[in-house]
Amino acid sequence: MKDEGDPITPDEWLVRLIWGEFLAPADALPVRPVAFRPRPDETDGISMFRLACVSRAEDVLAVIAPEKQPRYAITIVSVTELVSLGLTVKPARIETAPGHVVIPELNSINAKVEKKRLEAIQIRLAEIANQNLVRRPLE
Amino acid sequence: MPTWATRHLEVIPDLELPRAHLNGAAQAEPAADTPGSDEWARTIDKLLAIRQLEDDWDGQGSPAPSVEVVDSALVLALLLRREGIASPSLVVQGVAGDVCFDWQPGGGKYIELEVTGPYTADVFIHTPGQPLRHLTLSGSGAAQ
Repeated sequence: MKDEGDPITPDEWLVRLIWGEFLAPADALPVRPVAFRPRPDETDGISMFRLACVSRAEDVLAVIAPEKQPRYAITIVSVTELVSLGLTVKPARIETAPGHVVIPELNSINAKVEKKRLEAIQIRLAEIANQNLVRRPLE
Repeated sequence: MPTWATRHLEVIPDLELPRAHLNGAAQAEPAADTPGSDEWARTIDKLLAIRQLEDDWDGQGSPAPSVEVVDSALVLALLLRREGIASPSLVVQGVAGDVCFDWQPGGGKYIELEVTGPYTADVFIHTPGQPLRHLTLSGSGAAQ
């Protein structure tokens, strides 16, 4: 397991928490692009976590209130795929879970002014996420 | 009273939304047995549930959509149903106080309609092999 101070390498995987309602398993594109949109307070980019810094992907659920944790799905995306989409990965240490990073290009300011470009990226991220789901919502 | 511009009736074909029935005829008041009416009822029920959400509904601090945004989405849903459009594959609150509808009519096509403010929406049309299309809808009309 890597220390979160270690450099991020192209062979790493990043964990993304996905609200369960953004996933409809019966559809051709089950995970929706909305799962990769920034909240208004994510001016520095959407949150992800380095899989190399935790024992299991589920460990990053520690950032969510316990009663909401069962409602989350989890997917992983490779750093290489993110980079191929023109995205970067920036460490952003937090107290509640190790390996926290942000994707600076997917921030709430860009989301308002570059809607079309970001939507195209978010559709591709949703396609990748669908291939790499590691957990569906428990409720 | 603000509402969706009547011009939107003219631009609905541009949105490439699937129709609920084959003849495509618009109906003023869909009957209970109209194809797709159950699905639209579920969509409207979902919107009413979204209207009850509070901030931090996801445990990560996402804001709830405002009543004005949800009501705009409700009016749009009723307009689309009246126009004979198929109910969306999914309707859900977004993480930025918005309401998202989407349709997946087949062939990898993905159409998303995101109500971002009172009578304001972005529409994205993704067709494999083609550039993503983006249209905006507002109370005063539509633009590409």
